[in-house]
Amino acid sequence: MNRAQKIARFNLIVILTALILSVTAIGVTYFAVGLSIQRALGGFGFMGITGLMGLSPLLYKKERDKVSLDERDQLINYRAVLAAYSVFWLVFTAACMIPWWIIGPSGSISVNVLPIMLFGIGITLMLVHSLVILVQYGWGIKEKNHE
Amino acid sequence: MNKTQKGAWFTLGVAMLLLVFGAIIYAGMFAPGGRTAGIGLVKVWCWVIMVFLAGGVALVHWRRNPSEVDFDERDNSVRKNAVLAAFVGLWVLLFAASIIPSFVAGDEGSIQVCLLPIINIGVFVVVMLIYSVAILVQYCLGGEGEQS
Repeated sequence: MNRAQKIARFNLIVILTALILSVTAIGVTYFAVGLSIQRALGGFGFMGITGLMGLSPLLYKKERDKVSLDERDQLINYRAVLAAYSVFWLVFTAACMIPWWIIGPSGSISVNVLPIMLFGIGITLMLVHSLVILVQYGWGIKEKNHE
Repeated sequence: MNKTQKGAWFTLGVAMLLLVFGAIIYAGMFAPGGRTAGIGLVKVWCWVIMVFLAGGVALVHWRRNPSEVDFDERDNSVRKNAVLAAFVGLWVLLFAASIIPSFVAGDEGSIQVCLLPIINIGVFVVVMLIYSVAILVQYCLGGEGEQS
C-alpha cells in the first residue's frame, strides 16, 4: 500500500468514524434521552473528529529513498479530484435547492447554516476523493502499488 | 487557435454574458413599475445569449483543416492547471459566500432562501470564468508559436 492509499484509507476511517458517532449521538439523545431535535443535533459536534485528517501528511511522511509519486499515481489522483469535483456540483446544487424547495422561495434561513453547508460539502468531497483513490488502486491489491 | 482555446473563449463569452444578464435581472428586481418592468430587456438579452451560444458552438466545432490536431499533451497539462485554478477559486468563493452573509446580516441574522440558487449559479459562472481565463493566460504565456 503506497502513501496516497494510506492517506485515503486514514481519511475514510476518520470521516466514517465521525459520521457514525454523530448519527449515534443524535439518535440516542433524541430517541432514548428524549431531547428536542435542536439540542440533539449537538451530536454533530463529533464531526470535529474530522480535524484529524489534517494529521495524515504527518503520519504518512514521504520516504526519502523511495519514489512517492509516479505518473500513474498522479493520474489516479487527478481522476479522484475530478470525481470529487463532479460530486461537489451535485451536492452543492442540492444543498442550495433543497432548502428553497422545502421552505419556499419567500422563506429565510439563518446565516449560520451557510458555514455548516460548506463544511458538509467539504467532508463529502474528501470522502469521495478518498473512496475513488482506494477504488482505483483496487482496495489494497499489493502488486503494482509501489510497495 | 486550437480547440481548447476556442472552447475557453466560448466559455469566457458565455460566462460574461450570464454575469451581465444576472446583473440586469438583479437590478430589475428593485426597479419601480411592478414585476413586469424590464421584461423586454431580459428578452433581448435572452436572444443575445442564444445567438452567442449557437454561433459559439458552431465556431468551436469548426475545423479549418481535417488534419488539425485536436488535443496534445501540452493541452492536457494546460487543462489540468486550469482545473486546479478553478478548484482553488471555487473554495475561495464558497468560503466568501458562507462568511460574508454573517458579516452583513450579523450572527443572529438570516438570508432569503431564494439567494441560495443565485449563489449556486453565481459560483458556477465565476468558476467557469476562472477556468477559461486560466486556459487563455497559459496559452498567452506559452507563446503563439507553440500552440498545437
